[in-house]
Amino acid sequence: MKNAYLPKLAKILEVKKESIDTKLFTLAFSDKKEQKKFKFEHGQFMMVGLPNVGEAAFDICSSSKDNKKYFQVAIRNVGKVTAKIHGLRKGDRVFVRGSFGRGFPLDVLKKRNLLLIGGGCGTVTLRSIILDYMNGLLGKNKIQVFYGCLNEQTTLFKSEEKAWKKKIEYVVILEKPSKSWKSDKGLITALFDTHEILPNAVAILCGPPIMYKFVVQKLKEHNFKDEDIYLSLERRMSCGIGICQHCAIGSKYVCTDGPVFSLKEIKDLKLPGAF
Amino acid sequence: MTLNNIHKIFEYLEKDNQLFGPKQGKELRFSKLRSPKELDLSGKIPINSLKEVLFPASHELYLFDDKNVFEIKYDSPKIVFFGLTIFDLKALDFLNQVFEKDLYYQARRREIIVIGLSYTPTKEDAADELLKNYEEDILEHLQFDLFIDRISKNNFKLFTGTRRGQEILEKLKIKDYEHIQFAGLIREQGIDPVAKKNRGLVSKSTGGEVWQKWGKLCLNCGKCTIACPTCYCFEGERKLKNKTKGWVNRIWSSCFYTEFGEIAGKIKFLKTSADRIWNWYNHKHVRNFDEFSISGCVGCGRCDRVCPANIKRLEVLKSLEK
Repeated sequence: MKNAYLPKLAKILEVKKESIDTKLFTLAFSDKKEQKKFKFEHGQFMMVGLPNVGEAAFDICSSSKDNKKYFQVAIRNVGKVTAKIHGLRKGDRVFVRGSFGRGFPLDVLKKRNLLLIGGGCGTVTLRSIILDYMNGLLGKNKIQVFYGCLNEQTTLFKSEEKAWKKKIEYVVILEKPSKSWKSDKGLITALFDTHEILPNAVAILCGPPIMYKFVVQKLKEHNFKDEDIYLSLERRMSCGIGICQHCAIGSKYVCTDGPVFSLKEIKDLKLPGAF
Repeated sequence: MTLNNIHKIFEYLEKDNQLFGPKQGKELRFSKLRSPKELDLSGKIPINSLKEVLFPASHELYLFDDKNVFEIKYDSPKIVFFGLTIFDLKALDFLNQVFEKDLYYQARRREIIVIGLSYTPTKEDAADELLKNYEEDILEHLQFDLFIDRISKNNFKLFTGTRRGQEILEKLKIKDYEHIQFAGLIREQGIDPVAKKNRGLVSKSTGGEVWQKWGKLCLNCGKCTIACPTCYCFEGERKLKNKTKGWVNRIWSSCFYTEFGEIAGKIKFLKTSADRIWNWYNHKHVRNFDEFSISGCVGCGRCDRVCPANIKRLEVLKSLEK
């Protein structure tokens, strides 16, 4: 029997500042064998932390091409654990458990056109899909990305946009941009009226609950079926293995049944606070 | 079999084990027993449960220093649970399933000898659906090493449920017992219809007005979750010995606490008292039922007894029928 609660030592290979509050951490298990056998599904998460402070869940945002060398998580400085991690530098240690959860179904990612919709820091999760697509690991389907953010200062992965735009339609919309912003402005839902949506696409949503509510409405207007809409839900993760109850919603556990659900799976749960 | 024989079993087991069972004090409590005379064989339900010993309110998960984390050998002393009623035997079987893959729980569970005791209904605790279903074959669907059926104050009938139980009696040259072969937790007739009905009731009522009423009454104190033998919510707690050294404990948590489930940015998902009491019932009757095909509520009625707002479990379930 494996001790699922015991974290493993990992080393920070690189820290990159992504926005005013978010840093991209490149991590590798100190045990090289462990890193070599590392695998994840797009949408799965890692528990990352320091034993004297705590741990929290972060979606894996690297390409599976690099699994043998490292994995990446983008961490926003919003609480006690994340503040401590933000204080760490290249070469420092962190402790990790995972990967955990059920991600987006790979056959869907490989076979269907994908409409990726990210809101705020939720867009982190989409990066692993985009990178694998860029690396030719997801087939020849088309990908369209809508990314809604508050302003230029909070926008993530700016340095990678240019490369991505060569291969995919990557649209960033800002709610409160500076005067020099020339691109789309407003809420993410506005993009449904100004952009042609990919035909026969599956929608993949990563963002705050409020975004889900309005984006799902738009998707329904565009005749997306419930089973073609996938959402990644954010809940408090503690054990990661479906026991401790912190992440429970209705009859499901976000840490093991999710964090990725199809709308079909969760729309009847009638949960407090919707999604 | 006389009381003297039961005491003999006690004295024999006392040599190598720590014994826990019902003990009368201000109230009947599941406590450490130091002599056979302390063991209460009335068959009433203690206010607390075996959970405190099996899955302690706080126990060490691992140690850490500034370099690494270190697994610790889990403390798994030799223990006897002496005198668990059918409710607590059910709770034990339930927890075994919840923690099936939990190293720490299983290490402790393996070392525990379980002795059941027939239940005597009383006014203050639950005489409910489980009792109505107290069928002849109930013992076949519970796991125990020994089971004591109390016929009167000085007359008991003994059952064995495992080879380990038989060996204890053989050592003591007790031949007057019946062996019961464990036939799985779920009876031949299939899933418990009461559990199935309650699943439907709670599931259907989700988001309904009825929970607003119970939410207004509930004080969110979490006493029910502490008393409940099957409530097992937990979280990690970090204890520092100095700046760099310390250990991580697993501690009990309660889904009634407002910060339970809260994520960064103070975002809560169980926002109101109604959400939280619904979630508790939903966990027991829906989530647990879907996971294990048995209810997470064993019907012991401890929650009724400790609730300061006088909320009664069966009344809540009944209110969902309307």
